[in-house]
Amino acid sequence: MKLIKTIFSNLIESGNKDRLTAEKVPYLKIGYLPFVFILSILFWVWNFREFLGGQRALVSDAVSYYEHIKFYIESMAHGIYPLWDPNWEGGVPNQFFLHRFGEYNPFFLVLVLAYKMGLPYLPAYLGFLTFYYFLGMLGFYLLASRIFQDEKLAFLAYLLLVFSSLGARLFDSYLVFTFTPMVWFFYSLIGFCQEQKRHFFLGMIFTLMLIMTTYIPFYFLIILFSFILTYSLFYLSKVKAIFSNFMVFFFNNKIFVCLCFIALFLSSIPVVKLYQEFSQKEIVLPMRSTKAEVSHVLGVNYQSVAHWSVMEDLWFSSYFLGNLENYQHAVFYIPIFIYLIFLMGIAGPVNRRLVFLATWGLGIFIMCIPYGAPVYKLLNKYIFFFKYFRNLHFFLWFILLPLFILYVVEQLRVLLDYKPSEKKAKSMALAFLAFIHLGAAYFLYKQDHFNFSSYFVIILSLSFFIWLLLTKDQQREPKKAVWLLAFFILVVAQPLEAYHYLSQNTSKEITPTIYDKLFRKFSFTRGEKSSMLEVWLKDNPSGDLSKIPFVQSSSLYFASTRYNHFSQSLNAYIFDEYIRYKFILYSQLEPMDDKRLDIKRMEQVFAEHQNVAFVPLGTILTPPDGKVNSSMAKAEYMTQNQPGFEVLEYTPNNIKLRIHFPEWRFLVYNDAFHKSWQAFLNNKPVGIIRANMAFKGIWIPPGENLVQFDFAKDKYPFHLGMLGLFSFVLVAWITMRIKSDTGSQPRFLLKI
Amino acid sequence: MKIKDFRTIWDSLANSIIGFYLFVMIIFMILIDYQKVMSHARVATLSRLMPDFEYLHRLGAGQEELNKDKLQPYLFYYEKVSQYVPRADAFGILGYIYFHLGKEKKAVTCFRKASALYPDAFNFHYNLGVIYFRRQYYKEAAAELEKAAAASFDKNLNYITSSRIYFPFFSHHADLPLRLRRYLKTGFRNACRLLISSYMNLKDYKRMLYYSSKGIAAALDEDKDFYYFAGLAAFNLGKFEQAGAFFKAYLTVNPDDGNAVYYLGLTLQSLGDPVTAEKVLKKAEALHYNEGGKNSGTDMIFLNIF
Repeated sequence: MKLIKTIFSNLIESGNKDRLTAEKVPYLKIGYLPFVFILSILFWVWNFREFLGGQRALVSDAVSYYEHIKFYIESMAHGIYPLWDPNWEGGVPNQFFLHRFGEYNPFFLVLVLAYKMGLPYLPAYLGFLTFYYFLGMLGFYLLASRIFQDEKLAFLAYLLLVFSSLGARLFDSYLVFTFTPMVWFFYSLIGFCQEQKRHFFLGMIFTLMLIMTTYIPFYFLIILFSFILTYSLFYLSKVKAIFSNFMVFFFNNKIFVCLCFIALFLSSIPVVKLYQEFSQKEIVLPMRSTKAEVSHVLGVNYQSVAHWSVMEDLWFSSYFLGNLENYQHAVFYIPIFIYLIFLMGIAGPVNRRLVFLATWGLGIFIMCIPYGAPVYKLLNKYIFFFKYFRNLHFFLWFILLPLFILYVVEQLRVLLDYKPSEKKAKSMALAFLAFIHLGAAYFLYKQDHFNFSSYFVIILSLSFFIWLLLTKDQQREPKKAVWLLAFFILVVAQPLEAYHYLSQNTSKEITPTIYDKLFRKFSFTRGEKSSMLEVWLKDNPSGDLSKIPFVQSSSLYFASTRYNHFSQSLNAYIFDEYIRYKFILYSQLEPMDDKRLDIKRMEQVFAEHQNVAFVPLGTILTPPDGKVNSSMAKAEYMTQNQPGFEVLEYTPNNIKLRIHFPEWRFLVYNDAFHKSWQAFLNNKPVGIIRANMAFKGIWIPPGENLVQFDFAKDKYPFHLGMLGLFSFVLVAWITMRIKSDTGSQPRFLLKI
Repeated sequence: MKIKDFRTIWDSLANSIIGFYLFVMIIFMILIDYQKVMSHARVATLSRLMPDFEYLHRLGAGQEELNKDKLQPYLFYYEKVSQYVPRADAFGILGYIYFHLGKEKKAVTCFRKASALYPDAFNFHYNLGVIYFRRQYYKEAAAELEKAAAASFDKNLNYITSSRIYFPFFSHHADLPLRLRRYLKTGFRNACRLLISSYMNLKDYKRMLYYSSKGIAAALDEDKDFYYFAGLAAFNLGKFEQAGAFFKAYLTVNPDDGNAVYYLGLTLQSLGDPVTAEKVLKKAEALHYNEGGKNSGTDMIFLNIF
């Protein structure tokens, strides 16, 4: 607790000291900020209390992330690094899902700790999301502090972002896992350009490590590249100075910089490995890569990219913002106060910072219009990684939203500098303020719906700015507390109403998932309901299987290549029945050509539980001693532990069985086949035969046997090592940040 | 104005945000095909907002109870659809939703817009007729229902099946063409029946007889109801022989309908057969006839979705 407090106050204070060093504004005193920060957090929590209390369901992508993180946390808490997920589509390598949320992010260890302490997972997870979100927001505040060198404006920027719908997206998306490290990267970058301190450099490295190992780093790459390009365009003279400062820093901290780059290099290894894993085509992403222009599994097709982008997100949002009562998830929303400032800003002069921010944002905006603008098409054609990611609308949340906030706050900064002294100028300014506010009120009135909070903010904003104008006339500045309180009310008033409706419009039905169960509870079957085939047989007592209607299984998001083929080829009735059982025992094998599958034959065998397992052409069809056993009339579908068949141990990565039969049996473990699985018979390695097209099979000799399947056992130390590396870098960063000499003068102050 | 003044304006514009926005707008106009971008955004957004049609479909088929909360997503969606794709079919469905939400005025406006955009449609006139009938504006109801009854069956079938707006409603049916024909035929029958009832309420027995006979000729009437109304109209017009024939034809299928028996008795009385008439009237009394006559259409006040 003390450590957190120290970090928190240190971070804020250092930002303030930097500002005070640069611009000695007399009326600012440290002291109110922690209070208003806590107030804003409490207010945000109040707004989302029903979500955070688990009374509102997580929706869309947030559900999948909740599940996969739960699986990871539970496994880690039991000392297992979950490299295989047996719950997902017949079993898949888990690296893909782990990478999506950033498995090496040391902050997840907080969740492991909470789990170990016996806290229920859902509240712990929602609390973690809130913490991580506010960590990002704190980063944004510090970034704004460095840009504006003004505490009240930085606080306004922070408030606008906190109460934008980015916060609501915690409950329907996974943006926060990328957004938070991205914000801290830019804070560290700006900080490093202003003051060449080690902790800033390490901050950049750590956040880069996180970004590289979380979801898809291409969004960040584009944002960073566009920033460098735009910055160079507007501040060319400074670029040289930044570079020379970096060189000085490098020569003064050679070992430190080299170690940082080594850590960065090491963190790139899992990314490369994941890419290689996908290149081997053992796993597929059918919903994502169908008709992709590149043959790689991770490739995406142009249509799916172009289908929904920034403009679509904005247009979609516009349908809901006319009447807050309709407010729902994924709507792009910023408190109305920002639009009032934006409108007032048209009277102000333009400056380089405004043009820089606008150019950067508009450049990305234009890039994100695949229909009707040429930029994206060109980039997609000539830059390879554009063919590997979709969801262009994420740019709206990752960069356009914070940039717009910074832009508007800069507009306000310029406006606040305007101090009319003449009566005529003052009257003009008053008239302008009234015109903008009344115009906004009239616009809202025309929307045909009444949202009280919007009008309240307009009236309050008009009163506040008139009051400011009058006090400026008397050459008196309002006190800091007044600024902070006024901004707080002006920003949070409307979200109070908006998020009330969001809560109202969000489903209360929380759908149970397979991940609700502890992964260690092994079940011999998948699903508790009757299979489609069982239901059909009840309605059709004749049992004539040829009359089963053909239904194709729904398309899969992520699965092993052969499992995907299996599920899409078989009639869903048969597939659904077959996949329910995890273990099937046979005594006879039949070869099946993968290129010319006899689907009808397979369906008949599976539907009738015939004693035949299908293996690839060229597989030896008899047990190792050559004795063929035919005493089994039907295949045995195991539904529970029984004499001669017992599950001794089960984790996501391995399973141990005790099997005792008087004759040879061919065991099919209906968990997807993958080259990284190893089988052991009485502790001796044996080869795994791909059985029934997509699963694992081995021969079991007569007598008592200990059978074990292990997945990628040799890779555990690497992943634990990576987790250790990330944790070490984070601890080093925090330590350096605390110990940093904040009083030293910056070598070079970047004027952004 | 002097050149110096222009320069001053130019300088102040170049240094103002407005000047910058103008510049950005020009860049946008050069780089972006605004129409294309907007059009794509609208279509993509509407696709995303499209609700599951199951409830509306079941409501239309009378298989689901009215639940106003469940109708809200449809209202939101069709408001947007009719805003961006102002087609007759979109207004038609929006009107249907408004009606079920109790917003009859808005429903009427929608159906009027729809019928103005596609005057040959059966459905929009029919729905307007139903709403007027419900309000007991029989004259207006008759006017709309006449237009509905006069619509071309094949043209309307074609219109429904070629509509992209109606398309989501069809995915549930394998024997779609047959179902649609039956659906539309029922619609025409109901229109004719309400039209007859409207004229009955207006006491315009001539028109009532005309449409009853037309319905009989078009074989719209499976339970021979139209014979009853034709008989009633003929009776009120004093065409007793004709009325008697209609009532008898009706009673062959519905022998226990007290009202029909009653009016047959009256017809026989008027035709000068008091003995038979008395017997028939006694039978009518035993069957509990209703003085006000047979149900005049109030059981049929429901709209068609398409």
